[in-house]
Amino acid sequence: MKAFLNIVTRDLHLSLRQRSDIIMAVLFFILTATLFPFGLGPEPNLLARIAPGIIWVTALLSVLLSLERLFLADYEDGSLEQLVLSRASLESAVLAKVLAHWLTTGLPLMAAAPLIALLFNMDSDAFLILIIAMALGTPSLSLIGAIAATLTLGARRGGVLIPLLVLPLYIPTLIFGVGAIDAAMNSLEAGAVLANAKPQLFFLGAIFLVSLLIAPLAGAAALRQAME
Amino acid sequence: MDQLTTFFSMGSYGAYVWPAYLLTAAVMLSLLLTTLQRLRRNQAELAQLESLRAVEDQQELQKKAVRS
Amino acid sequence: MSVFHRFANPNRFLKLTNTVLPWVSGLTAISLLAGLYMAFFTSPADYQQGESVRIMYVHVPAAWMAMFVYSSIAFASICALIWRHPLADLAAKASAPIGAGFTFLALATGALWGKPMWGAWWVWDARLTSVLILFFLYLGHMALMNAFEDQERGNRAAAVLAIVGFINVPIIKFSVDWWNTLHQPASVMRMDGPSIDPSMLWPLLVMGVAFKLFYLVVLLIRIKSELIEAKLRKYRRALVDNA
Repeated sequence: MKAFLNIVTRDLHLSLRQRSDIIMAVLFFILTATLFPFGLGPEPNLLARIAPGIIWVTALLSVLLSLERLFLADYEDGSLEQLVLSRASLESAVLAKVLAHWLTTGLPLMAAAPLIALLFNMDSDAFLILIIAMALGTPSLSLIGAIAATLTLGARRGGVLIPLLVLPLYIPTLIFGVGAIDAAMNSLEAGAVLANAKPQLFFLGAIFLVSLLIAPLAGAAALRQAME
Repeated sequence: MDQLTTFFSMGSYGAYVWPAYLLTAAVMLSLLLTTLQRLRRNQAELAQLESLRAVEDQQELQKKAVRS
Repeated sequence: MSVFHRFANPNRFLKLTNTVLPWVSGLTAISLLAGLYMAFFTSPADYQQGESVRIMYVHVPAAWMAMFVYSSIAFASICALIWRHPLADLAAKASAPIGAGFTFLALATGALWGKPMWGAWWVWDARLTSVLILFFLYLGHMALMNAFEDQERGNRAAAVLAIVGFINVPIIKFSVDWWNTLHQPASVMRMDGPSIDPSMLWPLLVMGVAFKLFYLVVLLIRIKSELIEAKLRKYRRALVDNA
């Protein structure tokens, strides 16, 4: 547990010191989202209807941008090797890295999402569901991403490889993430918003739990392979 | 002759049916052929290396025979 | 486990392959010819889809193979990672291009069938979409396998990915089905499996068997080729050491 917290605090310190990484992800998120009205026209109803999809797709791409760096610095400066040799639990180390990644990527994206929803004229009743869906979905993105990040350590063209490995696995999160917000927007009464989006949120939670189970195991196995 | 043309026209769906089968044949054949080609190349190289080794072994043996 | 390990020895495996291969190849040829004959001559045209239904006899078996080969890769990967079975890595590596080929065929013949039936080369139908994602999984698997200087590491990383992908396949399938029922496309062709007429089921099954046998033939040859390559690497290293 202490080792776990050590990794989390160290990673947080590092990324807070170079704030550019966090800002880059959020900036990318907002910038790409604002491109869509230029591509599709400023019609408010259309924008409101496609807002959930755009928020999720751009969030997914922003997470993707940050994945390559998730383990690469530690791999290059040798601290991963120390970690493997130290006989500490690699599974919990992977979880710690993922938690730090989520705190510096998923959480800021979650905070920025309502801003985009506002720009896209999204119904304000659905904002709560948007936040809950992001809170349940973005951790899965970090977890699944960590598997690809560890598997590609030391690979040629690792940066190009990660999107290819990760995007197919992101599709369920995307579907239910968008589905939850859609359901909230389609509910006729303001009070029924949560009830309407419940199944989608439930599946998002289930995907999170499955990822939480698989990612540490696969990530640790990949780290051991990378260090052999 | 008429029978043949009706067969190939596939009830006006010929433009879809035949490409589907041709594509399947092309993919399966190319899988098989590239696999076989690689096997042949590897086998040829192995035979070459093995005969090289046999020659070397023989030379060793002759040297030994001369020495003794 | 004992039968399983008996063939871990490459030489024993090669011997077995060499005796089995001619028979399996013959069976493949026979079943393929029989399947083609049934597909074109004994099976009737569909009362709704006309002759275009004949595309089904390559499309559906190819789609079966797409999933079957991916499952085989996942199984081989588990054997490779847990028991370090020496042939399992080779089997997974040899299967990937075959599976990707069949997945591509399922997509391409699906498009050729879709055009006359749906009026479009591609619709975001649940099955087509799942197969497309499966194709991406294959591409990722093959790219990862070849992304390392050290082939061993590539195989091992690809094995982890294959297992993770395999666990995700049902989740992906479920989510795509769910997504599709929500956004039902305008015209959907119903193709209910079990209610299919025997005159159409038989050619389908024979073609399915033929495709599986074909996979087995190509797989065995590829593994054989990989084994020779391993031997070649060893020889070359020895030659370099001698020189």
